[in-house]
Amino acid sequence: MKFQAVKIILLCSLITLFLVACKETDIQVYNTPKETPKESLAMASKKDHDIRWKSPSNWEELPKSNFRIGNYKVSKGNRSAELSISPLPKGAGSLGANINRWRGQLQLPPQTQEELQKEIKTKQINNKVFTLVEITSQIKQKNNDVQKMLISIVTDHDTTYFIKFNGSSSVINSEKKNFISFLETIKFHD
Amino acid sequence: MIKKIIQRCASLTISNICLSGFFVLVFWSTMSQTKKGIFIVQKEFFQSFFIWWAPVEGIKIPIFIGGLIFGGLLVINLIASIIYHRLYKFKKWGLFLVHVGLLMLLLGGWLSSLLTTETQMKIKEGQTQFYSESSRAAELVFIDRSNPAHDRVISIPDTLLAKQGTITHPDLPFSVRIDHYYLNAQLTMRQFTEKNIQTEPLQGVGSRLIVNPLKPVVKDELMNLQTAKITLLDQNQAIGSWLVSMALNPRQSVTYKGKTYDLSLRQARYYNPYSLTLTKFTHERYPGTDIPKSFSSAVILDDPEMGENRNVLIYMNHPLRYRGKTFFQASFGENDTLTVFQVVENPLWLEPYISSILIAFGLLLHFIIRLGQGAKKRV
Repeated sequence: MKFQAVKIILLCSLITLFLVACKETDIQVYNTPKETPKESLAMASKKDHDIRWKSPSNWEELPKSNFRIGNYKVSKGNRSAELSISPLPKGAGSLGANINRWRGQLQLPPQTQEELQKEIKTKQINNKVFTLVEITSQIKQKNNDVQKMLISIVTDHDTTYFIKFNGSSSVINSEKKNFISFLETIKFHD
Repeated sequence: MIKKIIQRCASLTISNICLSGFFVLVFWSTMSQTKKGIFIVQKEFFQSFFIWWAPVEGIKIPIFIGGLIFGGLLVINLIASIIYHRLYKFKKWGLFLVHVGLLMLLLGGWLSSLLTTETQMKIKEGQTQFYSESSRAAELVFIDRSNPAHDRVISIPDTLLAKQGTITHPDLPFSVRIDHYYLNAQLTMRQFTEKNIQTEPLQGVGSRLIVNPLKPVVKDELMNLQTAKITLLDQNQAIGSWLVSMALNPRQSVTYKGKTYDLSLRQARYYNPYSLTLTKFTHERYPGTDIPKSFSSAVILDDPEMGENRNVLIYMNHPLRYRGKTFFQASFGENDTLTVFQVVENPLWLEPYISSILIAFGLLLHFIIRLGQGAKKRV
C-alpha cells in the first residue's frame, strides 16, 4: 500500500512537470487571416485613448489614421485648415523643443527659452490644463495669406494629446472661437 | 524510519502553521493591492517561495515565506495524513474524500495559475476580430505577407528576447541578435540639436528616436512598453539593425533574399479558429451624468469549423463561453465605438467546483459513518 501511494505521488508529480513544461513558450510559426498592415502609431502606455469631444458642425470629418485619432477640415472659399488630435507618450520632447520644431515648419527661426515663455498660454478646462501656442508664418502664400498653427496640448495619465490646427491664417483666425469651444467639449474617461 | 517521517509530516502543527501562513498572506496581499495590481500581487505572494524586500536596488532580502512553500507543505501534510491515518480504509472514506478534495483544491489552484491565460480582445464597431492580446506578454514577429491567402507569422516570445542572445529558426533566412532589451521604455523624437546621440545606425523609424528606459509598471491598468534593438545576421554578417517597440506599432520591413518580412514588437496575440464581429456597442449612462449604467456588445460569432454563425449579446455578468474561452465585457473606448473583452482560458475552471463537492460529500459521509458507529455503540 505504501509503495502504491508513493507511485501515485510520483505519477502526479510527473503529470505536473509535463503540464508545466508545456507552458514554456517557444518560437511559434502560424498562419493568420490576411490583415491590412497599420501605419505607425506612437502609443502611450495607457491601453486606450479615453478622450471624447464634440466637433463644431461646420468642421468636415476626415478619415482617421493611427497617428490621428481625430481629423477635421475647415474650408472658407479656396482657403482651408486642418485640425488633428494626436496622442503621444507623455514627455515626447520638451514643449520648447516642440515649439521650435513647429516654428521650423513655418520657416521661422528658433527662439530662446525666455522668448518661448511669452508664446505659451494656458487655459483651465474641465479640471485639465490646456497649453495654447499660436505661431504665424511670415511668408506669404500664393493666395496672399500666411500659414498659421494654433496648437493646444493636454496631458491625461501617460498620454499627451496634441491638438493641432494648421492652415490658412484667415481660416484659423475666424475659427478661433470654435477651436476654444471645441477644447471645452474635450473630456477624459478615468 | 519511513513511518516516522510520515508521522512527522502528518502533524497537525504543520497544518496549523500553513493555514495561519495563508491567512497572513491573504491579508498582506490584499493590503498590497492599494499600490500594486492583482497580477503582480499574486505573483509576489502566492506564486513565489519567499516574499522579498528590496531596501535598495539590486539587493533583495526574503522576509516571509511565500505561498508556494506553504502550499507545498500543506500538500505533503495532507498526503502524509492520508497514509499515516490510513484514511483510505472503508470506515474513514469520508475523511479520505475531504483530504483528496483539499489536495485537489490546492494543486488545482497552483496548476490554474500556470495554465490560465488572460487576454483582451478589442473590436471596433463593424470590425471582425480573430485574436485577443496579452496585456503583459509581448512577441517579436516577422510576417511574410507574400501568400495571397494568408499571412505567415514567425513569433519570438519576449522571454527569449529578455535573454538577449542570438535566435535562429529554420523559417527565417537570417538569425536575430538581441542587442538591447528594455522591459519598459519611452520613445522620444530626437531633437535637431541632439547630434550623434545614436552611435549605431538604425534602419527604419528607429533612426529618428531615442529610447528612455523606464521602471517596469506594477499597476494592472498600465502596460510595460517593451522595447528592443535587434540586428539581423546572415552567417555573422550584419544585414541591418532595427528598433522595435510596443510604443511603436510601425510597419517596418526587411527584404532579404527576395522575401519581404514585416517586423514588429507587439502584444502577444492568441488567434482563434473563429471570429467575432462587433455589430453594435451600447453604453448607457445615468441621465445627466457620465456614470455608466450599463454597457453591452452585440457580436456575430462565426465559426466555419463548427458550422456556427449566430448573434450573441455580451454584457455584465453575461459572458460568452465558447470552445474553452470565456469572453467578459471588460471595457470600452474611442467614443463608445470600441469594445474590450477580457478573454479567459482556464482548462481547470471546473476543478474548484469538483473539489468543493468532494469535500462537502466527504464531510456528509463522515457524519453518516460516525452516526452509524454511535448508534451501534448505543445498541
